[in-house]
Parts: sequence; C-alpha cells; structure tokens
Amino acid sequence: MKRDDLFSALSFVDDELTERAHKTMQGEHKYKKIAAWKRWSAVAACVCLVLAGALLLPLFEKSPVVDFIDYSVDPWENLWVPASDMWVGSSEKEDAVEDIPPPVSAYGPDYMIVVAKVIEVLPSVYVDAPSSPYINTFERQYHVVKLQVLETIRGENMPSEIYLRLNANLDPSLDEYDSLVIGGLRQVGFENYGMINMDQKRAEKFSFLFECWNYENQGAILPFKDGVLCLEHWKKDGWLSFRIDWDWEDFREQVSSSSGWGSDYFPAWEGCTVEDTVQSIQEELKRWAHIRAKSVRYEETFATEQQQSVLEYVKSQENGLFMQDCDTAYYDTSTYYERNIGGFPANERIALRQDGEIVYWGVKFTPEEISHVPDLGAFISSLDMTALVPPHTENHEQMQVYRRFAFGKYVKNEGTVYGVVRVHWQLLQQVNRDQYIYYDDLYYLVMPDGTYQIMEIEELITYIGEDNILSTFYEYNVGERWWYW
Amino acid sequence: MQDSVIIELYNKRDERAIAETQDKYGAYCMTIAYNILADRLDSEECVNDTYLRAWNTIPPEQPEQLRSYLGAITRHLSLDRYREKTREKRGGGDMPLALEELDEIIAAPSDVEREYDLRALGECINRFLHTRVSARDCDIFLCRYYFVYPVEQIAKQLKFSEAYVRNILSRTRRKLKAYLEKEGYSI
Repeated sequence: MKRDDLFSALSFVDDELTERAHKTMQGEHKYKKIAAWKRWSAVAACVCLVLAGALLLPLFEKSPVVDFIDYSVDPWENLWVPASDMWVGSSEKEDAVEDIPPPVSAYGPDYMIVVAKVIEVLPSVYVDAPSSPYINTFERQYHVVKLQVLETIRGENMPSEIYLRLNANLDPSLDEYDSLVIGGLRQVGFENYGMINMDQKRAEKFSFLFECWNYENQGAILPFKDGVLCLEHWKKDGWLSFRIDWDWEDFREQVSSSSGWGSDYFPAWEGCTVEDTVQSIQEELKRWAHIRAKSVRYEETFATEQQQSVLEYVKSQENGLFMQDCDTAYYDTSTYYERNIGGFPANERIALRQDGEIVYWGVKFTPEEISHVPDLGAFISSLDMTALVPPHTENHEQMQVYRRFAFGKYVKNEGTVYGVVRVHWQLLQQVNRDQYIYYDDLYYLVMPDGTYQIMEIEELITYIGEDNILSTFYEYNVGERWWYW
Repeated sequence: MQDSVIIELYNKRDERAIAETQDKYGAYCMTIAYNILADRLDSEECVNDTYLRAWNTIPPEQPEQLRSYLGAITRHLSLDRYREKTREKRGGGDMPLALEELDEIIAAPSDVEREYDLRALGECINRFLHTRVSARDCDIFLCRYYFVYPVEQIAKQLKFSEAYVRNILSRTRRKLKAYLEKEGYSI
C-alpha cells in the first residue's frame, strides 16, 4: 500500500466525522485535556488513603465515633433497610410492619433520610475507557468501597422503600459531581460494577453523589461528603422506592473472563477470589430479604427468551407482587432501541405500594382492577409492524429511513381500564438528525377483554376523555421497527 | 443560502449556483487546498476546478452534505496537483520519469478497481475511527490527515500543546496500523 492510497482513502471517511472535525477547528466543539499531574495526584491520593486506612484502622476501633459499628457482624448485612421496613406483599412482612411503628422524621412527614458511611476503600486503578459513540471517553479512576447504612429516618408519609439509582457521570462538563457505584449495582445506561467512577478533578476530595430517583423519574442529585452518605429526599407524588439491583451473570462474566473489562481491574475483596466475593455477596443478599429472593427468582424465570409478561406473572402470584424495575431511567432512543429489540420490554414494571395500591405502567390499580387489565405489552408485541408501508415510498429520490414506533399506556375512564397504543411513522432526516417528521398517528384502543379497535383521535377521545390524550405516551415505548428506502 | 436551494440551482443549470457555492464554501475549499498545496495560485486553480467538477456532476449527483461533497472534490484535486508538482520538481534526469513509464507496463489496477479498493480501505478506516478512537482523537486525526492542518494550528485551536497533539497523532497512527494489519492490509 502506498501512503497516497491511505491519504486518498480518507476521502471516503463519513461526512459526520469530517463535519465534526471541521467544527472542532472552528471552535464549535471543545475537548478538555486531563492534565497528567492531576491523574497522578489522584493515584497518589488513593494510594495514601489506602495506606492510611490500613495503618489507622486499629486506632479507629477504639474510637467512640465508630463504636456502634459491630465488626463481628458482616457489614453487608446492615447495608439494607431492615426487613421490617421492606416490602409488603408477603404475610411475614405484613406482620412485621404491624409490630414496629415507623420512625418519625425530624424533618416532617414527607422526608426520608438515609445515612451511610464508607467503611472501606480498596485500591484504585486506572481504566482506559473504550470508545463509544454515546459517551465521551477519558481515563477513569476506579475504586471499590463498602458502605454501611447507619440510620434510616422515615417520615410517616414516606413509603417503605427508596429507589436508589447511581449515576455514572461521564459528562466532563459536570465536573462538580462524582459518582458512586456500590458492588454490582447497574448504572443507568452504563455498566460499572464494583467501582466508583471519580471525576479526575475531585479525586482528592472523595465526595460522591447519589441520584435519588422515584418511580416517576423525579430524581435529584445529592451530595455525599467526607465519607458519609447523606440522602435527603422529599416525595414528589408519594412514591419512592429503594432497591439495589444486581445483574449477577453479567457482573460475574465481566470480572472473571479475560475479555471482560473488569477482569484486570477488579481488586480482590478481603483476600477472596473474585468468584468467591461475588458468590458470598449474592448469598448474603438472598438471605436478608424475602422479597429479594422473589426478585432473584423473577430474574431467573425471565432470563430465557420464552418470557411471559410481567402482568401475567403478577396475576399468577398470590401475595407475590413485587417491584420489578427496569434499568432505564433515561429515554435515550438509541439505547432504548437496543434494549427493546427482542426479549422482555425494559420498561414493563409493576410495583406494590404500602397501602396496597398497585402501580403498573405509571397507573394506579387496585388488586381487583389489576386482574382485569389487558396485557398491553403482549398486545404491542403482537402488532404486525410490517403490515403498513411507510409514506412517500413512491416519491423518494434518496435513501430515507423510517421508524415505526408503538407507544402504550393505560387509562381509566368511568371505571373501565383501557389500553391505548399509539403508532406512528417517524422519518429520520438524513441531513439533520435532529429533525424528525412524524406521520400517520394511529390509535389502538384495547378493551379489558383484549379485543381492540383502530380509531382516529377524535373517536378515541369519546372513549377515554380528552384529558387522557397526553404526551406521556412517549414514556412507554415498547417497540420499533426500521425501514430503509 | 441553504444547500438544498443551491443544489436546486445546479439542477436547473442556473449559473448562480457557482456564485452561491463560492460565496458559501469558497473559503472552506480554499483552506483544504492550501493546506495540501501551500501555494495560493495552485490552490485557487483547484478550487475553481472544484466548482467546475460540481457543475458537471450535479445533477445527477444530489449530495446530502454539500460542504463534505465539495471538500472531498477539492481534496482529491489538490492531491492530484500535489503529485504533479512533486513529479515536476524531481528533476535529476529522466530516471524518475522512466520508472513511472515502466510502471505503466506493470498491470496496474484500473481506475474502477483502484476506486473500489480505496473505498474499501476508506470504509475500514471509517470503522476504525468510529470504534477504536475517541471523538477527540478522531477529530485531531482528521484535522491533520483529511484537512491537512498544520499540527501547530490544531494544537492552538484545541488549546493543547503541540507535543500533546503529536502524541495523540502518533498513538492513533500506531493503532490504525495495527488495525489495518488485522484487517488484512499489508502495510
């Protein structure tokens, strides 16, 4: 090959890449360089921290500040809110709730506070993050920490669970935030296990943020300072949940396989092998929560391609309703697209509140109502998305890309629960991907018995009322197909 | 004026298309040409040839991104001009020319084949740039080897040191070499 060939071949590089490079030279795109001294300062800080911890720990054991940490007990056992504060939904739990009065919050009935402390920090490593079209890449420093939850204060209006979603901050412009991942917690959109993802500029301060996220995605980012995590979150609509989810199979694969990104970087935990560590933590989690075991069973049940819908599963369980969360809090359509193709819809979730009310696809149902709710996920999955031809096919002069979206929601009108599915075409403009053109809104009205009608919006309003035609359709995208012309 | 309107002028064979193209993209094409040729007159000639090439190819071509289309033409013409200039400057007797004449005897790939091979190589480089380097490194690589900006200019624009930019380029070149070898190209 001659060098001229290489030079000439660059003429065939994608327009989007050359456009971006051009914009970079025009100053429309900026990059930050991470100074080497900052990187190495962070490394030195972490090494010092670990050494300090190792040398000073014996002193702390005699300190009154940490006297209440009982080291004879495995700290992970205390990580979670005690079982008495966990889900209702089983007979054991209901009894426990009756015996133990909920604590009163000093901040009022609508507040909940969780206080936890970092009790161990393991050595850090640097990881060269792989390239991705979705994230900016720069070197990252990773740690593993253990947290011990010291106290939970719940106001009387707060539900028994808080959902905790840990945010991976990969946006260098948010440089005042750091992010934390505990153990195998899966992060939104990005999978970091057993690591803390630290912003380089704050490495020396060791402050972390948690994103508190309620069921309706009304989250807030809160500080974690000086080794103590302090979560304070007030309810937006009376519904928060707390659960830390583990994808064990993927976690295990990542840290144990030679091709996994974690294999070279995940430090051994307390002298155990990585496999032992994963196993022991998994066993521990299985023991502490009755409902957690149910969740594990659920994941195992639905790990195969032959998956039944959540609704069917829930209906078949006596007192077995539980929270099944999806792992997508942000509705980035590219990520969403990958997750929704094949298999179980990522956003199908059902939750049981403390007062017995059920929330499914964002709508509240009583236990009696839920048994008469049409299975919308199954209905959308059964839609023949290839049946209709995209518009303008006879008049195109260049490649056009269409997506056919299906969105679903439940609505209750005059005591009847309907499923509403909205289907439309979206033309992706090739020139400017930010410009979308929508065509042909179709509505399916799904009756409680599962039968359906296709109708125009005016007729649909007569069934479900004008107030129910809302943009929240977009929150429950469960399927799309692509056509190229 | 929007690209679609300019292209429509080409389609209607309205000579205002050239003027509008020059007005909107003249400086852009000139930058590309000058970066390769480092000669104002030669660069102007290439840019003018670019307009002519655009006039002759639109229609039937209907470029989605007019800037990229023109940039690619300018780049191509500038490279040809550069080769010509390099050949002219060799002097030193007829030896270099003679060798080139011998080259013609060797079964050289046809233009179509060469175009095909270059396109395949270009797609390979595309995959490399999309999946193996960060956005920042990709931009720097293209600024240097597509737009042929001097390293100092790239460094100044990105507010990096020259050494840092050279480092990134060197690293990216090494990665590209390894990638191309893995893809079966003999380097």
